[in-house]
Amino acid sequence: MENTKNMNALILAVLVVGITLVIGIYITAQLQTTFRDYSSAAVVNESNPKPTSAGISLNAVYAEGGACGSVTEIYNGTGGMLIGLGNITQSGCTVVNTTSMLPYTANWLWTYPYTFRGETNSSIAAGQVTDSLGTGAPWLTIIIVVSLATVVLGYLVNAYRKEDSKEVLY
Amino acid sequence: MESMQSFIIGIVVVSITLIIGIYIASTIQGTFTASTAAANAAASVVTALSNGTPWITILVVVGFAVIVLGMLTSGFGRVTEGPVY
Repeated sequence: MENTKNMNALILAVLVVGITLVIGIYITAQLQTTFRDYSSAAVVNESNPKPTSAGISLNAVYAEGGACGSVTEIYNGTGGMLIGLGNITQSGCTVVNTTSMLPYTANWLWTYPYTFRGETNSSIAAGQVTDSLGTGAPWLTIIIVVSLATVVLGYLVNAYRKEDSKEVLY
Repeated sequence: MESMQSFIIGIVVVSITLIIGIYIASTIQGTFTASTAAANAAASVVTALSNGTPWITILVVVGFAVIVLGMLTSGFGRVTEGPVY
């Protein structure tokens, strides 16, 4: 009965610790996102492939939290001929062609604004704390294994003690 | 069991407080004119508080290690109490 109570308390404690840890990691991760600084920048004559009907991605999409503004100018990669914006359809950082545009070469030069999230001292600190709290998660496995092993050992020891007590009575 | 819960709650509270402290100091720094004594002081505070974040890892590891060792010693302690005659 005592061991059962211990086991219940143990499971409850591990659950509370695990949930608290996860909530802590979530809060610090959210703080990291919140504390990032949104900055804007412009790309001039970025070399990207000619858009296809499936669409191509502008490089700003790979920046942290990158979001592309409307393309302002496109030039042909060879010869520098201006390409009309009516030849493309833009959705975020994805550009799809609206015509075959056969006369143009494989690479185009793109000019467009974009925004991204830059790291600040606060967001870096929040990221480090998130990583730090994350190191606690594997310990839960160790705690569960060790404490359950302790409970099992407790059962065994109690059983042997009872046997020993009987033997002493003879 | 209670010590384990209070330990993890303590760590989470300390972590969040530290981050918010860094954010406040950083925001205060931004309100001052750059390179003034006040701005430099606020930047020093941000740096000082930021130096605390790696210690959270150490606290987490040491804290959990202490808990596990405590469980082991208490478990084996019961075993080594000696035979019941």
